[in-house]
This record gives sequence, structure tokens and C-alpha cells, in this order.
Amino acid sequence: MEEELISKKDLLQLTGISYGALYRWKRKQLIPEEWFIKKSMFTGQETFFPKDKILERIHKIQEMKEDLSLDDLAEVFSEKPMEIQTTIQEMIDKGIVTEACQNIRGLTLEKDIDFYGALYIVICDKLMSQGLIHLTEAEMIKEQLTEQYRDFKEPPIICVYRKKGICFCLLTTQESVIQVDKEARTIATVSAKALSDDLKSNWGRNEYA
Amino acid sequence: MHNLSLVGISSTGGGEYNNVIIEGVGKIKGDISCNEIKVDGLVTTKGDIKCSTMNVKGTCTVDGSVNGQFVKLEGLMTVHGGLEAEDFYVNGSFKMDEVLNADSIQINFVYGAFAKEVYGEKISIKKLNAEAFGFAIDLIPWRHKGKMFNTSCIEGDDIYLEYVETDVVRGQNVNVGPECRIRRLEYHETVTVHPSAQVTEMCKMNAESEGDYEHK
Repeated sequence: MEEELISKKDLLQLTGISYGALYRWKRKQLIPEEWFIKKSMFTGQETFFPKDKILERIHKIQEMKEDLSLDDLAEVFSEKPMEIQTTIQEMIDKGIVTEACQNIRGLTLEKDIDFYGALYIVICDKLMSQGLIHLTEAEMIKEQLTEQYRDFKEPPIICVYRKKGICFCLLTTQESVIQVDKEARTIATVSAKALSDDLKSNWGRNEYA
Repeated sequence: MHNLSLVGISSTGGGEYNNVIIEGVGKIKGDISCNEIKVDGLVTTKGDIKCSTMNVKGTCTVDGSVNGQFVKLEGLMTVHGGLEAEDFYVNGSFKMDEVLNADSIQINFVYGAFAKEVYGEKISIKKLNAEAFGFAIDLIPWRHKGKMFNTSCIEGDDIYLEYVETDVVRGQNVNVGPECRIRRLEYHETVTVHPSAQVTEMCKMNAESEGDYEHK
């Protein structure tokens, strides 16, 4: 399906931002180059954007630019992981995860948790604090993420199912369709992309607050 | 980090430096990233330049792109890639094969100048009085042809133009000065056009079309 496009003119009017701001954000790589789609029109060359993506992005930028500088925002939106080194205690202190995570096996001993490590904990924490899974299951999911997460080029979708009381977890991509057993109940679908963005902005906010 | 200074005729492979000073004829054979780069004379760069301040007096040719915060040019510059900066100030002439994107763009050009597209917040493009300069400019063996600033598209919030030949201008407040040739001008708030300027098509982008869009 073709994406719906929005022209630059309409975008500026819709969001109320100026040319200057748009180009400043582009320069800071808050808006990826690929989203600028050039087309020849009878009025000369015009630029179009994928509508949903750009509106969401601009909304986010406007929301977060109060707390973060443009350079920090660029890090939030970049696909690359942040360079962090942390411990579980620090994450709890920063209010990124709840104390329940402390009990995940071996975690208190881990010294240098990198961005991915932190992300796995955030995912487990989210599921646990919603009361969807218990501690042993969280450990299992964390292990699975550690092994398989990086095989995905884009952040995967994490689907958690329960069948006859047994919990299992699938990692999948946005496009792929999966069919599970009738008896299996979906208990959670989590987008790693959203959580990873949240983690990045929360981390930045803490760092520079 | 180290400082680098090239004096006389010399070359460097590029790299990371704190301050870079080039006096005379210099050649940079790769990418260079530094805090401040100062060129007095003639420099050719094969790669990209990344810096916070760039100050060129003389002639500068860049095969890659330029990325900086404050870029000041007094002389001639050719950039085959694009140029991105917060402030871009020119007293001279330049040719840019890709996009010029800077917050504040202040150009006082002599002879002709060229950029593929110009994007910014405040854009002011003026022609320096050639008579005062004429004699000196004729002595420069390499010079950009023409008498106009050529580009295909200018977009910004506050725009002032002189001797500009372009396809499209889009802006909030547009002030078209003498001798401009513009095919299509789109403005949001105010516009003034000098009598000697030619604008083929002019239209105001009004706020009402915003409402229409949402219903579509």
C-alpha cells in the first residue's frame, strides 16, 4: 500500500512550525533525509513527507524539546543505541524501572549493563508491573531477548502468549503475520521501538535535568 | 587534541584536530574534523569538513560537504557536496552543487554565485557594489560566471533577495529587491517587490487552506 503523503506547505500550516524550524531539525537529523520526497509539480518542485510518520515525529519533537536539547533529541530518534553503562541500582534510582526487577536472577551482580541490557529489563519490568507475567517468566523472556533481539534489523514486536497456564514469547516484525493456537491467549504485545524511544528520552531527561 | 598548521605549500591526510590553520597553499586529502579551521590562501579538500567555526579568506575547494556551526567566507569557495551551518556569512562568491542549509544566511556576493537550493530561517542575499570591487575582481583568474545568484529554490522565514534568479521562493515574509527574476513566489504573510524585479507568478498561502486540508 502506498503511504499517504503530505506536502510541505500543508505540513507547516497543520503543525504551525516555520521553515526555519523544519530545516534546523533536518540539519540536526531529527527528521531523516529519506522522508523528504521531491516531486515535480506544475508549481515547480515540491517536497512531500510520509504523513503519519512526520506528524508523529513533529508532535514528539514539540513535546520533548522543552526538556531536551536538539542534540539529545537527535540521539533519541537515531536508530543507533545510546552509549550507556549502568547498573540495575542506577536504573531504579533514575525511576526507569521498578524495584521488582531487582529480583531477576543475576541482575544485581551485572556491572556494566549496556543499552540493550537496559532495554530488556525495561521490557520485563513493563510486563511484570502490569501483572501479566511473574518473575520466573520475566527471567525466561529476558534470556530469550538477550539471545535473539539483535538478530532483528529493526526493533521487533514482542508477543507474549499463555496456553494452559504456560507462558511463551515470540519475537516478530511489524509486517509478518503469525497465527497461534486457538487455545493460546495473547497476554501482551509490546513494541520494542516505542520502549526503546521512551528509554532514550527518559535517560536523556534524567541526565540533563 | 593537537593543533595543525600548514604554512607554505603543504598537504595533510586529514583527521581530528583542535585548531587548524592553513596559510599558503594547502591540500587536505581526506576528511577533517576540528574545532576551528582557518584558511588564509588556497586550500583544496578531498573529503568532508566538520568543524564548529570555519573562516576562509582566499580560495577554498571542497569535494565533500561542509558541516559547521559558524562558517564565514571572504573570497571564493566551491563545495561539491552541501553545506550545513548555524550561521553562514559570505563576502565573495561561491558555488555549491548541493543544498545550502543554515539558520541564518547572509550573503554579499560579487559576480555570480550558485547553490542548488537554499534553506534557512533568515536569508539575506545581496549583491556587493561591483564598481568598488571591479578592478580587484578582474585580477582573479578563476571566477564564477554570470552576474546573478542562481538557485532553483529558496525557502525560509524572512527573506531578502537582490539579483537572484530562481524558480521558486517560499517564505513567511519575503522582500524582493532589485533585478530579481523569480518564476513563482509563495508567501504566507508579507511581500514587497522592487519595481525592477520580475516575478512571474505570485500567490499568498492563506490560513484558510489549512481547514480545507483536514476535511479532505
